[in-house]
Amino acid sequence: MTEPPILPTLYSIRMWTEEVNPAYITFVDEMRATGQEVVDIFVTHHGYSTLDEWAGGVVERLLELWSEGTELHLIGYCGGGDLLITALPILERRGIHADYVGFIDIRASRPGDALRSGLYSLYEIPWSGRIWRQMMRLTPPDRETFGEVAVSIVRRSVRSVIELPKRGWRSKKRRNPAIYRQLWLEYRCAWPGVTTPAHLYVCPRSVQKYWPNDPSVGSARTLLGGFVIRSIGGNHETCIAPPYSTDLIARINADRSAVVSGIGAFQ
Amino acid sequence: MIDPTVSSPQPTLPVLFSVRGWPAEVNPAYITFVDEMRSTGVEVIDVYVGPKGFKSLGEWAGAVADEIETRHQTSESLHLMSYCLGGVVTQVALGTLTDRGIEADFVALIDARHESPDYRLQRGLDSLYSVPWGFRIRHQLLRLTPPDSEAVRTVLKSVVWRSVRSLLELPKRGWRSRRRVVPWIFTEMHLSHHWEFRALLTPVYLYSAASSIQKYGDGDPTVHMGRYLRGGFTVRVVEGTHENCIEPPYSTDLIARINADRRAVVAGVGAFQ
Repeated sequence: MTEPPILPTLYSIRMWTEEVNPAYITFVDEMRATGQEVVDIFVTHHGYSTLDEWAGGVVERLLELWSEGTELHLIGYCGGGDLLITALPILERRGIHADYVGFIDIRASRPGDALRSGLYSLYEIPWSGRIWRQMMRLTPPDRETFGEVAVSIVRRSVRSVIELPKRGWRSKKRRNPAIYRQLWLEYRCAWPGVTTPAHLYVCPRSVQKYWPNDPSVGSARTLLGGFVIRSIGGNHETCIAPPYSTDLIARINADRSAVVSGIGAFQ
Repeated sequence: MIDPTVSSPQPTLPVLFSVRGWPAEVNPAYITFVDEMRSTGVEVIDVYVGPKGFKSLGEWAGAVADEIETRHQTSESLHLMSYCLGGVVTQVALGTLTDRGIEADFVALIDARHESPDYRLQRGLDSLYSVPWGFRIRHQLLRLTPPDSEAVRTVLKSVVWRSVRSLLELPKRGWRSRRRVVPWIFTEMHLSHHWEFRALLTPVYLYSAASSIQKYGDGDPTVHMGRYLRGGFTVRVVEGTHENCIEPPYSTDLIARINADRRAVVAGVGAFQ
């Protein structure tokens, strides 16, 4: 593949600190090595009580760095993608529609899986949130039966009671302090509807592991403006590290070039 | 900016299968649209299977899938196009084709839409088409879930309000008024309103009229189709309304746009690679 032309600045939204995920910092550097300008946007979660507020902080930082009138290209990986997907409606409400949005291996958690793993309890999701998440399982197109949903809730409740003497009530042992608060904010929020079209770079292993039969890994419900899926090599952890990162960066640059040339997926 | 509708040289396009939901008498404009498309030099096969005799949309779409499978040269890539109800039939037929191991390379849905649960409730469509209660409840539950996330109170209020209205109208209209039934479209509407759609994994090009997005989509550019399109989709906003977007002068741009998208797919540079 030939060297891409110089593209507009790419704003990369990051959720995790360098200590938690150093690989993404290296990935951004590798992207810069292809001649592209990448601005790393990291806003700490401290002081925010919801993901939406936190995403608002990210938007403020972005607007300080981005010059109005220039093309806006955005990217996010993992939790950074979740922050970005929450930030997009805030931008849309301000009349700002990004020209390019890339999500690298983001996923929504399947309500049934989150129940089985006890994540609602771990992240102290309010009961109303737990109820609508389980209700989602009854709705189309997945449409689990009421019996299936009820059985899974009863089974999880019984398991929790059995594990109570061993683990205690809301075991602190399960909490990873480096990522707990960020995930606490994330799990309590529902992804909003986004009308800005997006490019999804998805590892087939993530589809297989987290959401079989949904190549968007749960994003389709949210991305109302359209999305294209690019299947990428590696798994969630290795897709941004060599050798897979080389192809991924080339793919991102090609998609951004197409957008700049006016021949992108969304015209 | 490059004009995507102008590209050269133009590769030969595969046959385009046009799936039609309505008979020629109900919607003659689409027949004319297909003829206009043929006049641009592309081969279009009109696929129409009437709904009579089928117990469900799944059965009907299965017969459409059979028809496509019979007429499609397996060596050639499969391109599909449909409009309005035809889009909904195609959505189901695509699932059937995928189950049979046949993947379409290009799918165009022109101003196809699903009605929002609230719209169905307010218009009394579930009652008109005798939709089972389990289905109605599941659809109203959708309103409580993201991205809409309506409050329980709002949903309950709208259900109660609609029930009261139905009661008030009962003496005037009677139970399931036959006056509201439009005979020449009833079977098709009955089948489509009874069907609970599966997720579709085939990527789709949506050509949606701006007025439809506003009128029926409540700002959702997919006009409530997006929930089911898990393989990806791109929205091309087209000129005109639902009725006249397939008629001149709007049809000219729409045909050019579809042909350009198909050429991009054939050249390997389409939206979904």
